[in-house]
Amino acid sequence: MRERTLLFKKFGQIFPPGTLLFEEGQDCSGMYIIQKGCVRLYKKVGPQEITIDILKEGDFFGEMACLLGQCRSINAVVEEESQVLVVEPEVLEKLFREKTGLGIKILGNLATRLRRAYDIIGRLAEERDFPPGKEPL
Amino acid sequence: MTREDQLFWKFGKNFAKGTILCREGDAGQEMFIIQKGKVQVRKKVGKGEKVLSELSDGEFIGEMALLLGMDRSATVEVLEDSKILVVGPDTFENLLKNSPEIALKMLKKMAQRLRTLDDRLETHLVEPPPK
Repeated sequence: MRERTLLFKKFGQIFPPGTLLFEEGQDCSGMYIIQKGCVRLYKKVGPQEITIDILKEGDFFGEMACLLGQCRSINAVVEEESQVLVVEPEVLEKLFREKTGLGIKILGNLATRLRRAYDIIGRLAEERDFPPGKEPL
Repeated sequence: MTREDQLFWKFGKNFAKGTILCREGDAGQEMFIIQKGKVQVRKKVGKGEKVLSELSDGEFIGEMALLLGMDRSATVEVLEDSKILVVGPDTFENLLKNSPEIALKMLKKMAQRLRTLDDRLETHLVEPPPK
């Protein structure tokens, strides 16, 4: 059996479009890896929904709340029928320890997102008065 | 030989007090993990420099240069004789295999940093500063 099928058998679920996988403020239920389909991440800012990212096959999300043991800071909704692996926090920690490749992939992804956040903050600071941070870039 | 000794044997170097590990604006590809000792992180502000933080045992720095090839965004000076792991792109995977705890710690630290930045951005979006 191919690894993809094995993983789906172990962790996979199929979600119809419109399914809200998680909402801001909810406890962490796990990290998600899209095997097939499309998921939109968004944040509610006042009455508006701001789309943060649209993720497809091979992308993962939801790792932040797992790593930090904190509540969700964004919402994730299924845009088209999707085949998704749902990895619970305890399993995720075990996977990190056993599969170094996954940790490195997530580290690279976090670093890219950090750089994007630094770029946005840099632009905002140039455009208008934006408070400086304490962390080194 | 303890796990720490093994890691030091593979990746470690002794740095004397006063050594500059990296300088703001320079290119660099290594990250540093302090096994024992203390370093100071400084950033240029106007004509002077501002101390951002002091890091000690178990903390790491320079991971953005390693992961993304970004230039150094701060200067790091060794404050007391220190044992530091120096990890380049070619040895990074090897280090994480040898020490998943370090990988997990990095993941958590970076996730925390990202969430702090996201929170700052969100606050700014919801409450733009008065004109």
